[in-house]
Amino acid sequence: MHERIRREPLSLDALLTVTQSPATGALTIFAGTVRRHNGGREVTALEYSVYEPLAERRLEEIEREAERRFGVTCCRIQHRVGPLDIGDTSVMIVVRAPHRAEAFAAARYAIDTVKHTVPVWKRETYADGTQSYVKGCPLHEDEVTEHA
Amino acid sequence: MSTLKLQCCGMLEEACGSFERELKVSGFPIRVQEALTQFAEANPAAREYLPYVACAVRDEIVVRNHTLNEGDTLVLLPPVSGG
Repeated sequence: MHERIRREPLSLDALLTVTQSPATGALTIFAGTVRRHNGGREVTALEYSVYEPLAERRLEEIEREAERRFGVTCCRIQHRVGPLDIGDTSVMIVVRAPHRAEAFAAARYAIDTVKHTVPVWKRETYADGTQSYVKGCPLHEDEVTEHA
Repeated sequence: MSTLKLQCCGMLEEACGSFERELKVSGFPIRVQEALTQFAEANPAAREYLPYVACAVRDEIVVRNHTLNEGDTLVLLPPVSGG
């Protein structure tokens, strides 16, 4: 089973192995890493928390929608949670497609949609010892999956 | 009186003091909006966040008009910042 939310370091090799396909001629990899600065402040550490039942579902939906919308062969996403150090990889997206244009477009769609729709929260620790949650994106009405 | 279980994610956990919370309600079923109103009264520190919070039950986001039944846990999801 492909686990999308992970508490251990992400493995690009594992994602490349599970997505391998002789029918594809393009491979796009996106990795988000922990920055040392944010909003003019020095960041020393970072922690992600998650609401896992919905996050796993949303990541799978984003993968399927990227494949459907851009016609790529496969899209796989992993997001790390828990404490991370500066430079650690927090999110990794692998897209394989017959050609490069759709591979780039699908990877961009996937990371943009992850940032806006997956229930994950980032709390930064700064050089002065204070901590703060990063201002986020409200989940929109079109994320509602049932009708009252 | 009955008890509704809530889970406070992200900055709401910090504002409310814990991830798991309980709210005394008059009974079930109860609408999400009514539960949020009562939760805000019992947890003043959460009030500023609630207008921007999405709600979920298990792995589904639910609207404010959704009906909660006994045994449901209402999950409060503040604005997200993954990636």
